[in-house]
Amino acid sequence: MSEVLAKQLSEHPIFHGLPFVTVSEIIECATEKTFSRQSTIFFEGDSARYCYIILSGSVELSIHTQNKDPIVVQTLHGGDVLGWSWLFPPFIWHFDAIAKEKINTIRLNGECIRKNCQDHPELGYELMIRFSHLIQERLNAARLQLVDMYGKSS
Amino acid sequence: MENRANPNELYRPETPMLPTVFRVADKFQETYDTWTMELENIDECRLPPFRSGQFNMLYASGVGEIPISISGNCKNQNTLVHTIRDVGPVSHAICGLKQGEMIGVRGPFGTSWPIDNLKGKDVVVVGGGIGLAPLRPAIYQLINDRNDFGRVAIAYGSRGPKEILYQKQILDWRSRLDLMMRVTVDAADKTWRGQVGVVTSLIPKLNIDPGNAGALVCGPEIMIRYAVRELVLFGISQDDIWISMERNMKCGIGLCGHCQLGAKFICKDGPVMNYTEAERFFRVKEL
Repeated sequence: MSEVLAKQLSEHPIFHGLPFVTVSEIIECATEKTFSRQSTIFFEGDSARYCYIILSGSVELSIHTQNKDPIVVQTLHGGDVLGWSWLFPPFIWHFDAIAKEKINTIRLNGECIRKNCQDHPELGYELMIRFSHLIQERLNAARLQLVDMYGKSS
Repeated sequence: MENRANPNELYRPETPMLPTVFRVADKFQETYDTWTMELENIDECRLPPFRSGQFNMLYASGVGEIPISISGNCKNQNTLVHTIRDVGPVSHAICGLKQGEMIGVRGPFGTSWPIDNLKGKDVVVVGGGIGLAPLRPAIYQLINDRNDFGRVAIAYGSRGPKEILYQKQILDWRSRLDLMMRVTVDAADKTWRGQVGVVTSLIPKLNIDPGNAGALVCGPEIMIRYAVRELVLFGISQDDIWISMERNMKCGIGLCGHCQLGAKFICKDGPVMNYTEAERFFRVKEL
């Protein structure tokens, strides 16, 4: 992995402030990965092996329904983290993720990260806190979407 | 029909309950249930000049009267512009008016966006749904006097692509190099190429200096609450956040009490309020 990407990874909010040695171990789990426009990053039901740090471009998360067009539930952009299903058994994706345009990512191997967390409980605790914060933000957003606040009764 | 309004004629400050007669000069369909109307004064008397953020009481003859925010440019005081969503009997009657038909107007009422207080600062405008309508006059002012402000960002959220207001104008705003215009929808199908997510998710990514910024927020009260929370987390002081409250205004002059919140009358002390002043109302359930 290039020094530039190592720097981008260490400066990302998910990893920012972690000790250099720890980040170095995480970097061992990372590779660069580019997706072309309209390509599939993963499908619902696929094995969730990776976490993606989006560097540039945007990704649509969608749910497919029978006899209807897929419903887009969220768009993610450069700086966002795509996916946390690699963190929890049974390690299966719950949505489809499609690149809306060419995207550049840092792809982190989930199994490698989990092993690092098990071997270094302090890292594990810190990462769980940070991913939990991310999950909390997404949960709050999902709840607001459920409220349908712009509906006629509002 | 000739516009009989004359700038030298007197206002009617002594009879605020008496509607002034306007004519529907033009009408545009914004979405499947929302219309923008341009109204021209054909009465002997004029209304006082309006400021951004204020509202008028619009009267559909024989049906009733409702408060509707002014959504036009304050530089054009000859024409009243209102954006109305067809949600009840009165708004349905108003939306059904044809070009040339008459409508009663009382106003303008209420407080206005504190644009002068924002001079020299970055400005964030956060709107949701039809809440973009009362913000539009403020956006016009920010654009009209663009050099008086720092960076200007507009974050707009809508239920879906079909509910987005002022679509052509948003495209114009997006094309400006001196304005950040961000739009998101709560859900969409694959034909939508823009952002999907709640409007609050746009705020942390805005390129402004939160330490020297003010914010104007309007939308459903749930949205206001969460948007203000995100703006404060982003670093904007609560004292620099103004919101517009939508309540059941009736008289418009602080007499009837329909829009009363605590000791405040939203028609008179609002609709635009500083969030520090309004916060306590948001803490009371079912108020």
